[in-house]
Amino acid sequence: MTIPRRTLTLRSNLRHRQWLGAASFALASFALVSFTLAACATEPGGDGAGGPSGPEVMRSTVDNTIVPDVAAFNVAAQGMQGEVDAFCAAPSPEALDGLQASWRSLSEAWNTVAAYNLGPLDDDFITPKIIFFESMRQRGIDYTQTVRDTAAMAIGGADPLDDAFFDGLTFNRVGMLALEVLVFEDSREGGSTDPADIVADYEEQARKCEYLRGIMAQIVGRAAQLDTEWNDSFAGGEAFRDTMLGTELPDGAEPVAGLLIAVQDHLLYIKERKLEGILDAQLSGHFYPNVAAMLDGLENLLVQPAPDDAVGMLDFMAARGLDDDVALVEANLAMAQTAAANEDRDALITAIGLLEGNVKREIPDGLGVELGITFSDGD
Amino acid sequence: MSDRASLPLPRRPFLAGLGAMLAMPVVGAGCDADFVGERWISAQGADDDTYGLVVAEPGGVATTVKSGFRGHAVALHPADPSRVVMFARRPGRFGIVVDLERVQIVQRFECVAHRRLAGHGCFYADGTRLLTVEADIQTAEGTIAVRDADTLEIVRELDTYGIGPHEAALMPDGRTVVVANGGILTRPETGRDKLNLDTMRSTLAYVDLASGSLLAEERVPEDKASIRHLAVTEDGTVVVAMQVQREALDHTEPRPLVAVQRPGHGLQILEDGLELTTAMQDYAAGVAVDDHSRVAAVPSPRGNLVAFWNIDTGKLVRHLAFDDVSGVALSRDQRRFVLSGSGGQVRLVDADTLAEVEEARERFSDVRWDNHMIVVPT
Repeated sequence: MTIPRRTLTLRSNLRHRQWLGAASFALASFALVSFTLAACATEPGGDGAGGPSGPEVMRSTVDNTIVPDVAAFNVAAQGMQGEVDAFCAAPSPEALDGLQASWRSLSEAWNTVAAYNLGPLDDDFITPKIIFFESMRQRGIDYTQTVRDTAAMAIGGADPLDDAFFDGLTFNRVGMLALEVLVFEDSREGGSTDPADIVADYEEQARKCEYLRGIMAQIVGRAAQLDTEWNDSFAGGEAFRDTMLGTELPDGAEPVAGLLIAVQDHLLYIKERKLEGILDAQLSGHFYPNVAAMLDGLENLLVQPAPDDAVGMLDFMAARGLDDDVALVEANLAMAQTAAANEDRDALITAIGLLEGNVKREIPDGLGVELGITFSDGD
Repeated sequence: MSDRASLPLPRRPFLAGLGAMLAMPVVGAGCDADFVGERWISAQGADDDTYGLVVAEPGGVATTVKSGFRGHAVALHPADPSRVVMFARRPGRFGIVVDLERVQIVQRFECVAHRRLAGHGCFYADGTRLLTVEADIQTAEGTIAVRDADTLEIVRELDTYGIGPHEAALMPDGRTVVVANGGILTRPETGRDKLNLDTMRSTLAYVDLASGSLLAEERVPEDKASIRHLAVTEDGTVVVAMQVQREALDHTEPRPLVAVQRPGHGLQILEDGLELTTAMQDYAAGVAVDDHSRVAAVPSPRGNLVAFWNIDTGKLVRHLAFDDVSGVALSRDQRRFVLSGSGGQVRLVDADTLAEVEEARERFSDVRWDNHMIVVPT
């Protein structure tokens, strides 16, 4: 499998270089006055002297990447729900193929959105919304067997599979994992992944489609809620999109710092819980494409390849003369994307570790953003 | 390679374009009349050029006395409220005495060559002696150095009966010091690397000040929980905050981070709210207790939250989101918890209702509040 790098990236990188062309002749002095220039910048890439301002970058990042990614996840969830309906109306290997493809699309969309674990996804300290989508996120535990057992008991039982039933399911019985189990294996001991067996399983157990629909509906509902919270209102207040464009998150953090910490945490999670622990999405064989989707999302977040007037964090850094740091981030991103494409676990561990370091050091330093004190063990 | 070192970029330019108002210090916002008469003191800073002790007035201006080293905890002289001591962050060697009236360093001290300061210390109730918590460079065995409070010379040394000591406090009897022995061995040549996670042994030790003998020792069931911080109430109840060494565990099950020892009883782990400790990411940064409400406030900067337990019932009563929160103290009138975050924020929480006093929010734009805060009278 190959995962091509975006051609848009190259265009965006060229844009970085054009800005640098005018600025790099006096690198040191440019850096010294960059605060003022950043504050006064108007047109990104305009005269080459200023570059984008922080608020411009933040607006672009939120409006051109995060909000659309959340919307895309919502659309993908609805799309899969349509496939569920089609499959359940007439189970067949062809319909299953469409259903599985829709799960893969949804999973990639989810893996892009999962990096934005702040605000709506991180809405509760104990049971944040994110763990209802991805249970492993809580403590790195693989709940596949829990999902299987819960499904088998519910499908084999006689209790109504209504809203109350599904609302009562804990986070480790639902979400993307539950959908994957239901769509990529049958319910016999050992779980066959043969499409014919899976289709037969649904044909033999009428309640299995009911169960699938219920799990799907939860995802659809939560994805829609996520979209609403970013765009309309979060926690009874303003849209979280607006909060991100303001000065402070509810806990007092600067929005860009909150975003960078979320991304940093997500990279650490991918590295420590998955790559160095348990790979997920094994039934679907989609672990590496999921990581690739996450990396593409990260690239979009940092680079802002579209539309043409979009400006990203790397643009901000480049305009301040930090071309070495920009190149470092791009190289590590490319290394990670190549490792994901090659399904090279060791190389991916290394590359994501480097990227995590970039999000912890070079990027916040380049943006002039404080991520907070590192309160170490023993302090 | 990055050339960041050659580019002295100013901090916090990212939001500069939001408007001139936001570039101004936000000092003064949220001034609460109840807090006139107290100052908030803490270590602060980001590097050798900015490390110091900050003296901040609610609704006023923060002033930093540069120290040249990263400080950790601060102790107030009980008989002279204009005098505080800041201890170097572990494993530092220095301490400073700051005159709060003149806002300047009036004295410095250094620990003996074979030891390092642990970051904490306290005064005798009458102010005649200063206790500094120290650890041997090679073995991390703990010592309480009893210093003359005026000259800062060591007049006696007491064993802490453990390694990796961190915080110590006087018990209400004035004759006993309680010490949190974190149990972790570090050495100068390996920095803050933990060298004994397999065998670590953390204790809460009660040491008789007169004889230096060990009066009692408590442990928690989880071997990999390091007792780091503590608070003592007027009736002698001790509340401890811990940090779990997750890398030494082979599971991800949550482990308690808070325990209470009431007089005449053993150390009781607070199991309630265990799910929250997952969010706290094994790290409780300190503890302060309000004697009246019997509530302990425990901040977790890793979890970006502060949790409140009733120390009599053992129940988790509330938690509150607060970015990179670490400092916690009680206001002078004992009615509110004062909390600080590394981004310069200060938030007040009513000690009875545990509701945040939102109108009293402050942000000191040039202050990076470090681990611990104390409240002193003006």
